[in-house]
Amino acid sequence: MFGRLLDVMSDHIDIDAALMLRVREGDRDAFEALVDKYKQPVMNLVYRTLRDATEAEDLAQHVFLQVFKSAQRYEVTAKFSTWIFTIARNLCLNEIRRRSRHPADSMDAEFHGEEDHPARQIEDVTAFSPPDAVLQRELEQKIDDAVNALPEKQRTALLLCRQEEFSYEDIAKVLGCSVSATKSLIHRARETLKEQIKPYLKTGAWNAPES
Amino acid sequence: MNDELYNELLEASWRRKLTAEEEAQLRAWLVAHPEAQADWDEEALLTQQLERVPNAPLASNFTAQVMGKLELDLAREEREQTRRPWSMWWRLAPRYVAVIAVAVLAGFGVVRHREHQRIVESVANVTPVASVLRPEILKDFDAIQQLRHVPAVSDAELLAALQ
Repeated sequence: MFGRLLDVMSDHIDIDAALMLRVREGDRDAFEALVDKYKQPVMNLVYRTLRDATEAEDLAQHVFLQVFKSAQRYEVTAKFSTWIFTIARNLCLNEIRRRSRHPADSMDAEFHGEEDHPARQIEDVTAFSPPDAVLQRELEQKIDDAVNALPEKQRTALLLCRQEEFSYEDIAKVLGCSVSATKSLIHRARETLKEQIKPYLKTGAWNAPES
Repeated sequence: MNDELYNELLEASWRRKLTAEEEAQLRAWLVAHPEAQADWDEEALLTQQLERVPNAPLASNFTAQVMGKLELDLAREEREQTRRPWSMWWRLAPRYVAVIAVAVLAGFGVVRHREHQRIVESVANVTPVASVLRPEILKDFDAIQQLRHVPAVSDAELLAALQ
């Protein structure tokens, strides 16, 4: 009967929230569905913060375990995505603080993922002539490096901005600041990144996207 | 059209693709403000490149790993719960000791208080007698005590001494 109640409620509340209600009852399948849905977005945030693929995957797993153990504290009125990214960010910050107390664990760790994982996927390289493809890969690497070099709050704001279901209000909640401060963070991050792409615009290799 | 609208469209473009209507509004604005075209070109290209930033590497069996770790954690918690009665007693022992100590001290305090009360009452009983014994009465006490040690003499000798 409770399951039917949840089914009815799910018509009126967010799907993720409905799944979390099931998780609160110990429903493993509901939890697995949430893990499947959020594993990549969470991993994107954690990886860009910790900059080590192995540690990032470990911490990302810990995020989901924390979600399950904290299920009783989840309030349906809160958006699940905001909640899980808040947990993820807090765990990342804890890890950064732990590293700062143990300098042997460098925060400037290189990306170790490249050797263990497939090469980066490029959407449609054949659309570019060979020289353009080289420039494209070069630009992507620059953007990638620039994103990783951003201050933590700017980077987190920028990455969460890529999540379509996230409003500026949601991002502000995760960061613990106002909406205007959030937009300011994103603006500053983008200004920094635009400095990387200006030279490439000047080469003429790109026509500006249709506006 | 004003700068505020341009900023709204810009902020919207950061999060999602603009709708057809929004793109039309933007094109019209840029025609009216050609000086902003370069900035828009940079913004648009950056948005395009950010969409191409690759996803973080993720193990294909990530979900299975999470579920596996969850089961291990839950199994461990369950084992700890079955051991809990003994460990719980052990953990609570200091509290019991503290409670007993407080009870003993309280009892000791009660006994002392009662003893004190008994003493006060007994003193109170003696007080009326003590009030009769004024210090002046004891003024000749030493002389009287000395008289007790004087050898007895006959009444005749005493009378002669007095005459």
